[in-house]
Amino acid sequence: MPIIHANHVIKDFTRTKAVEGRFSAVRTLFTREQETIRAVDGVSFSIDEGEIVGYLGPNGAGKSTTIKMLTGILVPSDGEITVAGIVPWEHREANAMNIGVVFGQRTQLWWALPLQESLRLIGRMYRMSEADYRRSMDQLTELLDMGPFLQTPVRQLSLGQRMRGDLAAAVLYRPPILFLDEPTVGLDIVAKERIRSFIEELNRERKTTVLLTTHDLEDVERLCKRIIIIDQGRVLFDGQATDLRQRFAPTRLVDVTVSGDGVARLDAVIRDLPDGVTVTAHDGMRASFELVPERIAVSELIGAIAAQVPIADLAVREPAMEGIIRQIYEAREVVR
Amino acid sequence: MIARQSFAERVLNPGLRDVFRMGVRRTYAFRMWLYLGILQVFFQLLLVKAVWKAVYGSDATVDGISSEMMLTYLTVVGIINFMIYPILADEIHERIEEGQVAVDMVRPIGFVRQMLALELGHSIGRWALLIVVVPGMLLLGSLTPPSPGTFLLFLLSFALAYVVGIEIWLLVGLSAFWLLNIGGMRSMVGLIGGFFAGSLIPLWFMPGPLRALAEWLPFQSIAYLPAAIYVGQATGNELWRALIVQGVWAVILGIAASRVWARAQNRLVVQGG
Repeated sequence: MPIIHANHVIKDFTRTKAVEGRFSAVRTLFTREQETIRAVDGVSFSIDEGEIVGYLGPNGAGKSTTIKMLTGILVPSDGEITVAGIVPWEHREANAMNIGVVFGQRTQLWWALPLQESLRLIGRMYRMSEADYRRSMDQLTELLDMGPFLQTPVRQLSLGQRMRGDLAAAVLYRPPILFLDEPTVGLDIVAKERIRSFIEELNRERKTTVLLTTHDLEDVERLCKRIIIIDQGRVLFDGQATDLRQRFAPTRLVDVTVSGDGVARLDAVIRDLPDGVTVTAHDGMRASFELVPERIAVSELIGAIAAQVPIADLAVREPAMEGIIRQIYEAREVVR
Repeated sequence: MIARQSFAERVLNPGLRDVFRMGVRRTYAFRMWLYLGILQVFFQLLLVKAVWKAVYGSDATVDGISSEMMLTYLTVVGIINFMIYPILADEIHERIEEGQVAVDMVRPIGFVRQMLALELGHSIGRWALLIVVVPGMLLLGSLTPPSPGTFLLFLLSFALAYVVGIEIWLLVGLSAFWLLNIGGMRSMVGLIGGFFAGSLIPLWFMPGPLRALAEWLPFQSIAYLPAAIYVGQATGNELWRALIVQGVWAVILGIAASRVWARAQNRLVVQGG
């Protein structure tokens, strides 16, 4: 039973067309000409309870617009949406009780209030009992390490601290569904990591369903088994992250560093590589190989190298998601 | 999983109290603005008083209105204008302009109810300053008290005036969902509304056609009608008629605001992604 369901959702925005040429500013005032922009164009998907889904797409693809319809902020021009059985924009307040939302670009906390006061206010809005509030706060304070800045006014928090505060505000009342719109935007590596592990923990502990938009593919690699890619308002791909890799980059990368006296012999290895292996980088003691596991096993390549050169260091990697996503964005075609 | 809330539960969301308090804070957040607002009320009374003094000259009454009654009218209107000073149009405009409206709309309290609670808080915060405003106005003008019965009816009329005032500015605020920038709308309603509310010239001194227009507009409900009741210019049937006119406007504008809000939601464009 899917907890989030979108069926052929369309969202059009209309705006008055700007007039060009002489006196354009004045003429714009009198023009009635409108143009329609279709931000979301027939998007359908279902998300099951407990899934973490990465909702990806280039800027202006329609990600945020979709999230705003799922959260009840925007009303679709056509199509159906249910979130935990509720049509979000028809029962906005009931829907609000079921969902937590983080907009990375803005805050739902109150600038003038200390973080703790902001969170207490959220607790009251969501009708939490004092005991529930205490328990939730204690847990979140520890998980997100908020102790040092609970008494700081929100306007004085660093971006990383504020984002942790916003996450706490979104999950304080234990909603079964969490929408995260670029939750790691602008954060440093440590802060990003903290947020990722928090989302992971939340999903494991509470079975929270998470829909996440991001431009940071490390978020996706770390958290999402399933990915939905949209562009120009249409779904280009919806499936397992591993399938995506399998289709677009079914390769492995092997990085090898040889010990001091092996440099010359490494050249020899590279000149005579087994089938299905290519060199992607070579620099003195170091070389990187790419291979297709269907044609040659990783162990076979390593064995072939080790037979001729002493290996000092070795790493086997999957190709970065980034390259794959870039291919899809650039092709702009539905992936089947 | 549909947890429909009862009407009482929705109206009495405990968070509304906090939004209300934030409204009170907002009154005092811009202190200079507040002081200037008080000075403005005093200053305006001084100016209109000077003008009306010149009009009256040495006459004790004009068209049956004593100069004393005129001064009381201007003083009461000044105080009403200080008390009914809605900020929700600016607040809504600001939230739409900054895209913060998105956050407001995912809260478990309806957007309009949040704005109304904020407005109420702001008003209460402002009314606390009557401690300064009323003595000041008394010093500059006159507040010849009416009979206790009339005063109670004045309070009722003021309450209706407050409702109508907020509804008008709520509508101005909601127009931001279409216009995005309501600066022009705002100053137009401020200027025209102020005039037809009788802030400078009471309706009884307006020439025929102008007065007819003023009587068909909602603005007289905000200042003129309660002030006319206070000074005893509207008595008997006229007094009840005034209250009914205010009540009808409160209902009409209330319905209009909820209709506009229902359509505004379809028009919403969230600025800045």
